[in-house]
Order: sequence, then structure tokens, then C-alpha cells
Amino acid sequence: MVFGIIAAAFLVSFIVYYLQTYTGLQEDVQRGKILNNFEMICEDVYLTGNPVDFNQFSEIKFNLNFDVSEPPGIVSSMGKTPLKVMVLFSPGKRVFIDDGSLDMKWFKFRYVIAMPRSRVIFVPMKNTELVWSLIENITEHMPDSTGFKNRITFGFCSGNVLKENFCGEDGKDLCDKKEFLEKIKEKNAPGFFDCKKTVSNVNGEYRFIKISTSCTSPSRGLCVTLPDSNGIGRIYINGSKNYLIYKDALDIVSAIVGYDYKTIYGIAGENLYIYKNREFSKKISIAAEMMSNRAILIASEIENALRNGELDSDSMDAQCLPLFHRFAMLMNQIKSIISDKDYYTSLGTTITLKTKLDEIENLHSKMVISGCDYEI
Amino acid sequence: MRLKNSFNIHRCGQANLIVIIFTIIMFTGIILLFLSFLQERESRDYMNLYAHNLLLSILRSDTGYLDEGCKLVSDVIACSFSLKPWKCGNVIPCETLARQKVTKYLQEYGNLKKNYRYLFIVEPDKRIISYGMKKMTLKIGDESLENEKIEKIVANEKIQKIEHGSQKLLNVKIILAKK
Amino acid sequence: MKYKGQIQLMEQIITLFFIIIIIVFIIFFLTVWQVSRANVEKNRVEQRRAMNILKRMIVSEYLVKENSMFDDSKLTSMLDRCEDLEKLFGENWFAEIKIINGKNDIPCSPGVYDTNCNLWTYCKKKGNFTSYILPVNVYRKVGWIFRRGIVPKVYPAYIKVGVYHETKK
Repeated sequence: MVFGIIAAAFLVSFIVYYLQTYTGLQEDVQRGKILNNFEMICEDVYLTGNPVDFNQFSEIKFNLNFDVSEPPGIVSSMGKTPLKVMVLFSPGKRVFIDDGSLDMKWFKFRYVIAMPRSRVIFVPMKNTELVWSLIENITEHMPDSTGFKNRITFGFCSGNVLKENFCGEDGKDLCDKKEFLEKIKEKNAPGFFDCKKTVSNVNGEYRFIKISTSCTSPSRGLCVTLPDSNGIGRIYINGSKNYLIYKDALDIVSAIVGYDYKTIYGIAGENLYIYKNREFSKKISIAAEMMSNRAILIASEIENALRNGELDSDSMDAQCLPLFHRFAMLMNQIKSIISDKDYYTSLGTTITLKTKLDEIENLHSKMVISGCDYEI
Repeated sequence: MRLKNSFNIHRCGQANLIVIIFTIIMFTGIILLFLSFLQERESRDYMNLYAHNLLLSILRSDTGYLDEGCKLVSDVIACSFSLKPWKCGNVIPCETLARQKVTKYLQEYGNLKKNYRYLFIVEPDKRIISYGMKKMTLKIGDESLENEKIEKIVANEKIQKIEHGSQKLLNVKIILAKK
Repeated sequence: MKYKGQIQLMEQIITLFFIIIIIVFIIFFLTVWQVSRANVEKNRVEQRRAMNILKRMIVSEYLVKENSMFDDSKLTSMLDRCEDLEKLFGENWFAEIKIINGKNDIPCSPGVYDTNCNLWTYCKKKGNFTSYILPVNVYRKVGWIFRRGIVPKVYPAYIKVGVYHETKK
């Protein structure tokens, strides 16, 4: 009997100890599975373009961060989960995942955004075409949660007036992207003053974006300057000493998705901006070289055909020859500019890059109209 | 009594042996059952993608003729359903060319997956009353597949053409089944 | 009677023998089961990866004109650029795109626009692999050349994507 009691006590203590360890292991295994699922679903959204609500982060306690150092990925107690596709990620228990693209005419720079339920509030400080155009451009590149539960909605603020509920059939619902883009055309902001409205931002839902001719470090959220004649402006984030230079809407969207949240890796908005620009450099570099080689190949084939007398020198394709040569040259220039690791931190380099990108965009549009190349 | 006991003991031992042998047979059976689940099969997901891409690739391919309404396989298929079909290159009727090309491409793609049978079916969409369109069904491949009650993989596409102001809508289907 | 005890003993020994066989059998079965599960899982991971790379390639802006239709000039531009492709799709895979025209393999060469070649190969090396094959199209920018212009042509083709099995070094 004594032996039996001792044996039973030993067995029970062993089982309890094992269960404790195993439960801990089980949680980590579950976290690993959820992170893998998230990564797979992001890739799926990227491939299919079909957005989804992802709620698995709510099933277990997570402490997630985004680390932009190579390879970029989501950091948790499981270590780093690298991402196969570009994902602008803002942690939350329930996130909405949607894809988007920066249409450069000769190339589509594709990305995925995964962010929790958010209310993006624009604070326009002026009533000009440029301001509305910028708001529209930013919204175009944000996720469209129409019909989904984890909503990304848009609104305005001026002074103490927060205008969010002006969509839907009764005009009293929050505005998803699609409806907001329609409403922007009415240019109906409640005013053009700084937003003084205090909101309970316990869940971090609100994201304030001030649009102004000049900015200083804002007391909350972001302040975005209007683009200059080169199409370049600045982004100031609350809590950051530096400003970020933007050349396209995705630079601003990256900062919005990250926002002014302080993480162990710095300010999330700043980190996502850096991540976006590094991915941009990597992908556009490869794309530029490919398109340059392609233009040279096609041009050489046209030249051969002309030389062999197979093609008339006044034919449409013969007229394309100088366009292909110019295209190849511009692509090489882009590649050279973007090879500078910190290209996005220098105003001069950014201006040069933007000018070349605009030139290529116009050239490619001309080539499509002339029938030299197809529309991408 | 002693004899009966010894007889019972024999029986008990024999019964034990039978139970043991029966257990071994059961275990072997279970193992074989599990092993059969380990066999790899081509996933449904992949085969659906394969079938859809096969259909799309055939429809988008050039026929080798450049005249209008004859350039792509989808063009000659649509032409086959015209009440006044024309000859491609002034030489070959649409339907003949459509059958030729689809048969050729099915055979060539068939070499990639030799253990499958294929059937290609085109018919007008019943929801749209198209004037100037033949009421017929174009079937190319193993026609016995259509009515067989076996596991099939099906992909669907539509061919839409506007001809003389009237809309033509055709449903195209490809059926694959293992040999 | 005299052998009753011996018979009983024999029965017990035989019973014990069979029980031991069953226990050894169970241990063996569990070991084989675990090993084969691990292999199946490894195969499944490789299959999933091959499928993912395949799905990404058929929509990749670096290679296609539109979904599942590759642009021959883009394909030729990316030949010999395995390093760049690995930055986009990861390592340890290969891809082959071939035009189905009944002809033998005529590999395309980097830097040469050849309307006769029909095979583009990327990142191929020696080794065992798990692969998937998919029908696609290839858009040839220079299909027909006439005096008044060049007309593109679309060919039926296939893509084969394989992931190499990881070997212990």
C-alpha cells in the first residue's frame, strides 16, 4: 500500500509537470501554426486579389512586431516569420488583408496590406484641388473592406467636428474605401482647420492624417505636406525627429499602416516606410534590368528585319525603334539610381528618380498608343 | 473431473492462441489500411487549376490564320456557330479548323498527362437568345466521358463575340478523367 | 495427466512468445509510422512550395504579359538571371517553359531574340525534385513579319516548376 501511494504520487507529479511543459509547448505550436496560416493567406491574397478577414490572432495571446532587417518578417515568441510577398503589416487581434498595386504603366508594384479595424481620418488644412487629389490618391491605395467585418473606414476632422458617418443607404454609416472615393468628389469636409477633437483611442482605431502646405512634428498621427512640382513631399510622424520623403502614394500609405505606434524596432510607420522602399529598390532593380534587356532584344529583332528587307522602314514597327532605345536607356538610369541603398533618404536622389519614373511612364504610354508595346 | 479440467485447460490455451493470432491479423490489416492512405494522389486543387489552364491555353492559342474571325482558336470556334460560317484563308471551313486545332492541342497536352482522357464541349449559352447562331453542340475528344458516372475534373469558360450588332455567348467546357 | 504441467507450461511459453511478437510489432509499426509521417510531411511541404512558386510564376510581372501567358522577350531577358529570380521566389527550385509545337527542345539563349527556340530553363541543377506541370501560353512579340508590320503570335506551352529535395550536407 505504501509503495502504491509513493508510486501514485510520483506518477501524478510527473503528469502535472509534463502537462505544464506541454501546455506551454502547445501554445507555441499553436502560435507557429497561426503565423504560418497568416503567411499563407497573405500569399493567397497576393495571388488571387481576393481580400479576407483574418481573426486567428485573437485565438491566443500574441506579442507581434515587424522587423525590417533582412529578411523582413513578423517577430513573435516563435522568432521571425519571414514573408514571401510584400506585406505592410499592422498587428491586431483581427486584421483585414487586401492587395493593391502601384501602377507605373510599364510595371505593377504589388503589395498586400494587413491591418486591424481602423478609422482613417483626414484633416485637410486647405480646400484646393491638390489637397483633394492627394487624399484621393492615398485612399486609392488603401484596403477596400466593403462587405467585410474588420472595416477600414475613412472620414474627416476639422476643429471639434469629426465627420465619419455619412455613407451607406441612409447616409449615416461609416465610409469604406469605395464609397469614400465617391464622396471625395463632393469635396465636403467639415472645415479646413486643425483637428482638436479628442477621441478614445484605446484600441488604436483612429489614424489622423493632416494634409498641409507645411508640417512640423504633429502631436498625434501623421502630417503630410502637399507634393511640390516634382510630385515629392514630406511625411512627419508623431514621435519621430526626422521626416520621410514621399514620391508616391504607397510611401504615405506605408506610414499610415504603421502609424505612430512605438515598437521595440522604432516607430512602426517609419519602419514600414523603410521596408517599402527597400522592397521597391529590390524589385524595381530587377524589373528595370529585365525591361531594358527586353527593349534591346525587341529593337535588335526589328533592326534585323529592316536589314533583311523583311520590314519597310516607314512601317509602324520601324518607328518604334527609337522609342525602344530610349526606354532601355531610361531603365538603365533607374537601375543605377535605385542601386543606392539609401536612395529614399536623399531629396536630390528622390527628385531624380521621380523625374525618370515619370518620363518612363509617359514614354511607355506613348509606346502603347503607337502599338509598339502592350498595356500592362 | 481431472480429465475435464485438463481438457478445459487445453481449450483455454488454444483460445488464447486463437485470440493472439487474430490480433496479429487485425494489426496487419490496420497497417495495410494506413499505408494505403499514405499513397500520394494528385491533389484536387492542382487538377482543377490544370484543367482550367488547359482550357484557357487552347482557347487563346493562334490557329496560324490571320484573317478576322480566324486568328485564335476561340475565334474559329465562335465562327463554327455562325449561321453563315466562313472559310479561313478562303481554304478551310471554321468548324473543320476548330476541330483540327483542338484535337491537335488536346493530343499534345495529352502527352503531358498520359493517364487522363479528355473531352472538349462547346454549346450556345441558353440564357441568351442569339440570332444568327447555329443550335448545335461541338464535341471533341472522348465523347463517352460525358455520360460516364466516374470521378471527373471539369473546367468552364465562356466565349463572347459581337457579330453584326448581335451578341454571341458560348459555353466551353473541358472534362478530364483518369484512364 | 503426467504431461498436464508440461502442456500448460508450453502453452504459457507460446502465449508469451506471441505477446512479445505483438509488442515488438507495435513498436516497429509505431517507428515506421512516425518515419513515414515525417517523410509524408516533408513531401507535402515540398509539394506546397512547388505549387506556390508555380502559382506566383504564372502571374509574375517579370515574366508574363497576362495571367498564364508568358512574354517571350521577358522570358529571354530573365535567362541566366537565376540569382535575381531567387530573390523573388526563394532558392532551391527550377522552372522550365516550353512551347508545344511537336519539335525537339531548342533552348533559348540569353541576349538573343530567337523565334525558333522553344525552351526557357531557369535555375536548373542536378538533384531529385518534386514538380508540377501546367498548361500556359507564350506570347511571341515577333510572330509574323510582313512588310507593313510585325504581328505577334500566341503559342500553346507548358510550365514545369520543381523544388529540389533538401539533402543533408
